[in-house]
Amino acid sequence: MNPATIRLFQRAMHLWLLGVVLCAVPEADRLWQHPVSPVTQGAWIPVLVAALPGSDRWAGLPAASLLLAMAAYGLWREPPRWVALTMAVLYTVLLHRSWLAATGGHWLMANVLLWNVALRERPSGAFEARLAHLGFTAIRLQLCLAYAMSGLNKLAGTSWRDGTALLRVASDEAYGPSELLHHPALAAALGHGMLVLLVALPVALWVPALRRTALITALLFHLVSGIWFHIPDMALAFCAVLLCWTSPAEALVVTRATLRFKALVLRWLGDGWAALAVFCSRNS
Amino acid sequence: MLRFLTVAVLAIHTLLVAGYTAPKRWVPPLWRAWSVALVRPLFHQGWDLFAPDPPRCACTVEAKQGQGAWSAAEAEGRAARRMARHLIAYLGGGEALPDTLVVPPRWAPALRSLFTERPPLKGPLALRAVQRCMDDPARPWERRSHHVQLEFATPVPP
Repeated sequence: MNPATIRLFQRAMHLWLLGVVLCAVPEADRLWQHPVSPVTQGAWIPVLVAALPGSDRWAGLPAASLLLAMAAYGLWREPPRWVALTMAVLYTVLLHRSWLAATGGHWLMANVLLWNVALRERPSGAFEARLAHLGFTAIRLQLCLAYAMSGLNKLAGTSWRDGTALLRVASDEAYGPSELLHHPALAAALGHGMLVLLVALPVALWVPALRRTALITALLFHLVSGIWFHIPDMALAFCAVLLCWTSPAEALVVTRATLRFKALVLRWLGDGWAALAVFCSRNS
Repeated sequence: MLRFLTVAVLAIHTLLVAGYTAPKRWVPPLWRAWSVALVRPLFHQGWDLFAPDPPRCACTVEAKQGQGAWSAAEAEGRAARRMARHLIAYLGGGEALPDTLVVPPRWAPALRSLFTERPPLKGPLALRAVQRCMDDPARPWERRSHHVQLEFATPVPP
């Protein structure tokens, strides 16, 4: 457990939140204001929130706006525990209101946000350190469980074992690509490769010698499958959580590269703004 | 002591989540029951995308009002498209459906409210599912189109 790794992971998680909630705002009415999804049963957080006065009025767009503000703050600084808890609660409420539109990535993030309440970049004292360690290990285990169970659930069927599963997926125009239909051997190899990857990742990530290879393979797998299956939100959720497996040195490299990119964007924006001001002053 | 407690919490949590998300028939019923009771309230999740097998049929929902033309849920936006797909999957759309499907009351309001944002109302709202099913698993590219009328078991308030 290292501050650089934790902070990188938290920033990625908050960036994902920011992106997902912002993209959902145009369809807020169907998702949160007047939810299409039937009310879920058995979850504690939505039930507790529904019991609060006026929750129906603020549990939609106002909650999403607050969540956006908190996620933006999380990009800048590590939020205090009460903010982390509020974010987990707000996100869970929004997710349960829109669960019909959710993917595995959304549910993964709901669990990770809950454990993130225990996580601290720089814990003070033995108890805090133990609590942070609990949160960090739980997040890593959660990710490994997701891969392992996804692999096991696929192994329980027949099409993944006989290599026809990806042909079925590719023949659905919502997913594709249809070119794969003309290469059944390739589809079978990719399907079997995916199964091996899902079952091997939860082990490989814990083995120091294999960790970096496993991490890069998993990131590539998610980016490719996110584009292929049109589920970028799910793919990016996994990519964000995978960053908790980076080493301190890797986390520093990624953080520095991100900061350089941010500085470049700010400079472009500044130059653009200055050019616009000059243009306006000449034409006024 | 604190270390032991951390390890115990993580071990129990992991075992319960595994019991909740693993294939049902591979988990002993008692373990499954404990998992559902303890994981569902706070840590709900499911890892069965395209599992155990990808669906045999691709299915979408279309709606029309009065004598208007059919339009797909896809036109309503990204979230609407995803919700329509999930809804029809819950109604069994992954397998070939009969010519008419009666929508159970639990799903009827959701299905109807997916299409309620389209003013003006020019007559009653009709819904249908469009399925493209694979008949021969050895020839997945050959898919047969099939229209399924969706009817509501009980009247749904507009």
